[in-house]
Amino acid sequence: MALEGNVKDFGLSEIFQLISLQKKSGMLSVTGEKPIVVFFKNGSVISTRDRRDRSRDPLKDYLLRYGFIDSDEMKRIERIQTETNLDLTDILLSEKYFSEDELKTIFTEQIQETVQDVLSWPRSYYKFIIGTQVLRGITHYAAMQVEGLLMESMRRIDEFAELQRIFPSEKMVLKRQAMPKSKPPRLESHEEFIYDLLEQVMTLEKLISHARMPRFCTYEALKNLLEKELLQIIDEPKPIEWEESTTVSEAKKQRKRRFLPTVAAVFLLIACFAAGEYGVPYVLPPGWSARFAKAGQVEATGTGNLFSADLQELRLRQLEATVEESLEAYLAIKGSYPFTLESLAVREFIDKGTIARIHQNDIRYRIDENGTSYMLIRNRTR
Amino acid sequence: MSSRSITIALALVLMFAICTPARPNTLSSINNSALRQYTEQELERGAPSMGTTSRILYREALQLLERGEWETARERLLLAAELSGDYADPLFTLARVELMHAHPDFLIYLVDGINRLARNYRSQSLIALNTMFLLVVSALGALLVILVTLLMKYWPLIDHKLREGYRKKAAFPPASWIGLLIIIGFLFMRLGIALYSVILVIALWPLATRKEKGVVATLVILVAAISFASGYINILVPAIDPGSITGRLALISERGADERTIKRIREINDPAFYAEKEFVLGTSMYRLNYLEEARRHFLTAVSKRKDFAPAYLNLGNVYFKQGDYDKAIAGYQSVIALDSTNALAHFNIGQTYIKKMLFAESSSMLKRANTLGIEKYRESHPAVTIRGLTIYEAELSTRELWSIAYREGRAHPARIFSEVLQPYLLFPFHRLWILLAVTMVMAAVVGKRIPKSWRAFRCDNCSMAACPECASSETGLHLCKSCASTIDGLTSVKVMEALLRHRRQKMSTKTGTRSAWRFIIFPGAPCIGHGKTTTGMVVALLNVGALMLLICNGFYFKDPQVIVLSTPLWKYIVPPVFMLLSWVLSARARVQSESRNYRILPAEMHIDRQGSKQAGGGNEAEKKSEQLEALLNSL
Repeated sequence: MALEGNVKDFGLSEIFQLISLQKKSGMLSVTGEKPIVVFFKNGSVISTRDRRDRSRDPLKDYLLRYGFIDSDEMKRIERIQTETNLDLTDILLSEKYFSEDELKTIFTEQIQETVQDVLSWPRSYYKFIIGTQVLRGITHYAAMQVEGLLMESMRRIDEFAELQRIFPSEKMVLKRQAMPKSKPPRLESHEEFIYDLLEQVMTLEKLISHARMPRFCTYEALKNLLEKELLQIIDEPKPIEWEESTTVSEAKKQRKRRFLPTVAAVFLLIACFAAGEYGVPYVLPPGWSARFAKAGQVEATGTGNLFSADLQELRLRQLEATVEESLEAYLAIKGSYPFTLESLAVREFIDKGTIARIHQNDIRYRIDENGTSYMLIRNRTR
Repeated sequence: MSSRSITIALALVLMFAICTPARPNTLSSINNSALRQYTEQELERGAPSMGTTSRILYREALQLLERGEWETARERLLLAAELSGDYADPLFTLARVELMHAHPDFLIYLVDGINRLARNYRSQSLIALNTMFLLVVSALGALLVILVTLLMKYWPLIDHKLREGYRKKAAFPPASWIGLLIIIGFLFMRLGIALYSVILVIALWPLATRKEKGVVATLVILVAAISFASGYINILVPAIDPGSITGRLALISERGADERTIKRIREINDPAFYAEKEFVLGTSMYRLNYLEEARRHFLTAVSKRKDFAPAYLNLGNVYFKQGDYDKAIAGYQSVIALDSTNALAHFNIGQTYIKKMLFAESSSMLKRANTLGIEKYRESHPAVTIRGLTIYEAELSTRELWSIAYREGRAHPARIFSEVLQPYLLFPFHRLWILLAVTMVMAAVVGKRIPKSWRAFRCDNCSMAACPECASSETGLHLCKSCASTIDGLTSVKVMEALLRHRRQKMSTKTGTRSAWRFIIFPGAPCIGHGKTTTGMVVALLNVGALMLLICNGFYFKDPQVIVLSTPLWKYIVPPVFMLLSWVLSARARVQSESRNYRILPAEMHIDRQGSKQAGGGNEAEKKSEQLEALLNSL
């Protein structure tokens, strides 16, 4: 059975406490400004990463937002993730982006910030699904007690309003002050890291995106630095305009690299075509003449040469032999030779194509008056 | 009932049961009076076999079969088969008719038909010529198909190398166009199948696998062998050349003597065939009963060729007809002296002895003739029985015709295959073996001497093209640019393995889909592409052959003496069936699953990583990994 309701009716902190007290395991999904899930195991928060929706991985957003990993690197990791199906944390650990301890800290801070966000939403709808089944496949590196988590979140929510008053815009430019040499103030590790980052003048926005800590922590560290007179807020800088660096000579060079090979390629193709049209027929004449010469140009070698040296001659002889055989068959049936060769086609002794070939090759048929003998005339009377 | 009457009754039953009714005179079965008269005239002119009459009857039988009158058609077919001793078509049709009516006689007709084809010079040479041509065309076609397929298969490697070389020198046209431009350039040149094959063999030899090289070499050797022997193939040409000496001389075995035939024989003026010409002229004169003229021709023939047995036999026949039996016996004895197994000579001597009233000698000679196969002669010369001849004449035997064809073919330089194939090869076929031999040598040299930097190879992971210039071998594998960039900067073996595996699967799916379409180009191509080279070669050969049969409507070289009646059904069915079979075989070809390791990266890397991971654990972990490595090495 699921526990669900509206934050107006029953606050989320109470729900958190209830789950913690009951030491329940399950998934709390909260839909407010954006959908969020919180996984509980025996009453402790173990993760806020929804394994079903990789595109909205709060850990990934966290890493990007605070400069743990830059966008190019993240794209690469995303590609690896898509291609290998490995979990983000697996890739981060295998590729040694972070040690296991570092990842644990990051994981904890990310959960802290997510819960802080969720608690700050004025309107939201929640639903808690009980059961350990929903925890299958969840990778976790921390188990945070709800009590501590809520207390810290509340503190941060309360204090963040004051911090925002001090630093009203993230566009503001920050500059560090020199450390007094006589009595240097003692700096916490966070403060020291921020102080080092501010070696270069930068906006608050940029500082947050490089701070490698939650927004609240950055603000808090800045506030402390300001109090210790190690920070100065100055005006917003003017954007630097970058000029196109492409030179004219390079463009010319590029054009030249394109023009010459194109001309060469076109010339080569034309040369190939010309070679095929004129050169190859000259080098390989027999085949070309047989293939491309017109029928009339291939003259028969004459019947004097009894062996067919020329294919054209052989085909003519075969044609004549077919006609003679058909004429003989016609004679056998009708008792005389036909008056025209077309009669052979009518009687289906030969097909019309053969008759057409006979005319095409200028073979003439002559019959005597009695119809008892005939002549097939080609170049000379046979 | 006495035993005698039982015996008579049994004999009567057996007579009716076993003995076939006596057939009337064969010629009287011909209904058409003009045809009958023509056949009688042919017999008078001494035709040994009535080929034209037989073909006309066969044609009538086919028309009757079309009308469904199969019994009358059967009669016609039998008559057609009886009238010609060497025309096989009626017997094949009879076999088909009998088979369709579930009669066991179909087998006899089939065997008889095959026999006729086998013993006839014209059909022998026609079948041999067409078979050789089909083999050449199939081999050339299959070679081209295989080479084009190999080009497609190895094109990524060639194209990769071209691109790599070109990219450094010019920006446009794009490097991806260069390969295509080269192909277009070659096609523009229209060099012909011979030179294109040569270029492809040389270009692909260094890339091809051993099996592929074997298949290409087999086909090249086959084509080269036929090309080398193309001079001998000329001896088959007279069968399709009605103007050849052999073709003209063979007429004497096919038709009766007439003016037209004699004129064509007289036109032979080659002195090498003078004896045969005189023999054929003598036989023609003998048939027309010009005995004196015939005697003169035969004497000339035997004077030119002392071992010319048929001429001696027919000379004996002339003397027999002239009543000079002693000279006739002398002629026949000359034949027996040359060939003691000549049945005709023994038979004719037997008949001559009868004329001389020497019956005992006659009986012995006739028995000997019977033993030597005089019946076979009668079967193949139906006119002999119809005319009721006393003595039988000799013709030019199949062996004799082959010998004439050999001499005629070898004497002429023109090569039939060269002439037919030249428009497509653009190279003389009878010189193709030289070109192919040079090609194979060049291919072998190119394959061995090509510098390593010029070689392209397949990526160890994804099988895409790579070359020494672009490949990375940092991991111990030869990885292409894409695979290398995929794992660039990564340190985790686990992630690298996963990424490489993913890329390999992606590329394998992509290339698999592409290769599935290859069979559309030509059957056999996918088999070659998938590594089943021998199957691919057989399928390609089969398909080219079937395609050739389909295009040519049967054999390429047709018998000019056969009147085109109708295309037999097998010519429409068999080639498409073979083509379909080859397409099915091609479509069934699948990529052979490669037994590739699940682990892509070398084992050392895995051990190294494990070792480094456990480095915090101290020396024990290192020792363990070393032990494991040693164990692996020993295994």
